Amino acid sequence: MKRTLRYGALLLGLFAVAAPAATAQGQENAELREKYDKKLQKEFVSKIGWANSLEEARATAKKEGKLVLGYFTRSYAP
Amino acid sequence: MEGGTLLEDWWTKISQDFVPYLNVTTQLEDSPDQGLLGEKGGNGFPTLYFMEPETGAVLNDWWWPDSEETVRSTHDAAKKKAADLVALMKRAEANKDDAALQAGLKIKLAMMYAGDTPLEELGRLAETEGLDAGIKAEFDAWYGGRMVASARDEAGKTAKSREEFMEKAGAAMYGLLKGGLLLPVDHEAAQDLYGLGLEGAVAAGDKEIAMLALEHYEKVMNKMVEDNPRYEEQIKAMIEEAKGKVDGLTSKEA
Repeated sequence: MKRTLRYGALLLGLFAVAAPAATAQGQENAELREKYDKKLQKEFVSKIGWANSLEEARATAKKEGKLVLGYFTRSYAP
Repeated sequence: MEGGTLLEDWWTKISQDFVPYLNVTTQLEDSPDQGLLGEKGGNGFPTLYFMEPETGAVLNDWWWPDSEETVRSTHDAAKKKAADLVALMKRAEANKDDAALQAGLKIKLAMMYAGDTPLEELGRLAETEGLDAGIKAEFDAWYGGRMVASARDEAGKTAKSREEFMEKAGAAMYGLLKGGLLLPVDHEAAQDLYGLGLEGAVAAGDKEIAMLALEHYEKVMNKMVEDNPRYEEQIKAMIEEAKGKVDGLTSKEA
């Protein structure tokens, strides 16, 4: 499962090699904002208490003697 | 994952064992921690990293939380790595005059995306006498990948189109190949190094490096077919396209 997904991702990378930062240029900020808001409204976000910044997560983790688990996702594309 | 794993009851329960942090790349300038994924060595979505809280050190490679058992075992392995890192930090703190220990800590943190030592300096630190052999071996495998990632990121930051990116990244990878950098077939940066390096070598008209890049690129891609036969047709077509470019260079020369 893991390897298949990894290679799938690599292949996608090949076809879309380097989407430079410029990909956002054609999108209006309002549209990006709407997508971001929609992302934050997803059920998985309210399901558990996510920290909203790494700084906040690290401070809490230090206090509680835990590790941070960062989940990196995106809102500008599916 | 957001409609599956992250809604499971076991996920809700196990997430109490660590501090979950949500990082959404938005392409909106005022969003928090944009670019953090790249700073932590990631290059795709979604990515999950366990991190040590004192340093922000990344404790695992790319993984997929397909079950409670996977999350638990990845968390356990991360806790062990965090403990090892903290022990190393304590030893370094207690032995400030030990150059090898200080170098080892800087290298270790950099490999875990928590240090701010420039790549070139890390290369020098890796030559420190008495450096832990395990750290040295780990560093040697990691360093090449970072050189590739750094070159690719730099091209991505400045390129305004896919064509410009290919040109800039290709030239950078060509430079790395020309400088003698080679990565194992299963290294995650190997495809970039050889695929883009081939483009750069062809653009520079350098037949020798183009053939070297092609030889390794073919191995990388064939390994990919071995692991994922369902992509065979696409990958073989890519190999043929690469061969055509190098053949074109050879016939131009002739």
